[in-house]
Amino acid sequence: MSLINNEIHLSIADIHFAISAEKGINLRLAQRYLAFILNMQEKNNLHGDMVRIRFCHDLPDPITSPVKIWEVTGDSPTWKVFDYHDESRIFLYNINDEENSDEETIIISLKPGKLDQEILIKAPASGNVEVLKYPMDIIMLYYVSLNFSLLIIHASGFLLRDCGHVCIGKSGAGKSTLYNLAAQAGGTMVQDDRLILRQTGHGWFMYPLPLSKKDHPVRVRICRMNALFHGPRNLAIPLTGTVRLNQFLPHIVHFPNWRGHYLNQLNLVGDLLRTVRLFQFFFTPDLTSIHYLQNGKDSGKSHYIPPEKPLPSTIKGFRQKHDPFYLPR
Amino acid sequence: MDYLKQIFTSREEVFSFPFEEETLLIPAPDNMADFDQLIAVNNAGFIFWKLLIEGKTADEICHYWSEKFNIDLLELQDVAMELIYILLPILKEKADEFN
Repeated sequence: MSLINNEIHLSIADIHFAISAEKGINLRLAQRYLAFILNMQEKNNLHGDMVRIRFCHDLPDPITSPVKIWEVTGDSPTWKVFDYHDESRIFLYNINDEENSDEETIIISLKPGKLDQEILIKAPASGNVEVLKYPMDIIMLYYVSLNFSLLIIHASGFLLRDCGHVCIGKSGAGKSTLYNLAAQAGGTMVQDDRLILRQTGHGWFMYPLPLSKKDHPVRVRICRMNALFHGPRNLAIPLTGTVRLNQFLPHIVHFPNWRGHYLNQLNLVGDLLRTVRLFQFFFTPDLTSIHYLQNGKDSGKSHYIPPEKPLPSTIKGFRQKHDPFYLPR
Repeated sequence: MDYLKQIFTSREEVFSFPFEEETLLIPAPDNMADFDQLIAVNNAGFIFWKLLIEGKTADEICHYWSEKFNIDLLELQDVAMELIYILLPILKEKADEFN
């Protein structure tokens, strides 16, 4: 772990995290973030989205009574999440703080529509802080995503011949296997477990979520997504309709929240799936799968099925029989 | 159990998301969306779901639609039963509330 002074600037998914601390608080940063540190020149050249994280000795008293929306107990650390509706603020509170002064209390201030957010963290009494400590880094990033068009997803990602691939799948489906094969084939690697996906004016891009010290900042435009399954041969089937949501949504990293945010998140996923095609990709664990991804061919014979052939939806029979019943909502 | 005459409520909070001619029904117990338990329904299925959790029985809905759209009642009841089985994970039988 590297010792940092009392100010540090990171760039994660093209969001500038400006982290500072009051006098007497020492910030430490895990090695997995070192490649994401901005130097002075990079920091001054940034004019984009920003999140300020400030470590304080004391937090301001809440103005309104918070509504508890989530409480997790039995794990360490344990958290309560409150929603301050009037102040557009979320309060993440480590209940260990009541018994153990060496834990942190965190307030995320969310101003709807403003891409400039502030996270206040009460530093432990010792004054020694590990910045963006797991799992708070992912929890904070999730709540920060309220104001950014951003999704955190359990997936691997890589660039092959100018085509950015996002690969989703259940545990053991082959995300890491395909990722390693893409690396052997000379692909540009993004991450093999967690990705940040962002919608921009220029399309959808993927970024690594810093998980280990080998991670480094990279931005890759997404041109194709693959829901992975091991198969006897390589075969990609384009998915259509709500089947895509069924395949994609279980891999989204999310935490308890209110209906409005979930609908925002679903709208984002809907936009992603309309923008980028999702394939069901059955693959063999060898380099022929990479060849297939690059060329749409396996051993010279194409198994590509054009998108005009949709998969059946959950209740296709019901739809076919009774669509004349349609009543506008 | 005659599901056609059963009054249902929603088992937990469920929110709906329309997407390309269909609607996803997503259960969200304790403010936590369960993206592993998604149910996709078409427009008619979504209206059926809404009427069902408003307190109408499937039988009432089938009779009403049968008359309004001139569709065979038995065929409609068969389809309604199929749909109820699909929706059962997010439905609660009204009598359960008193147990």
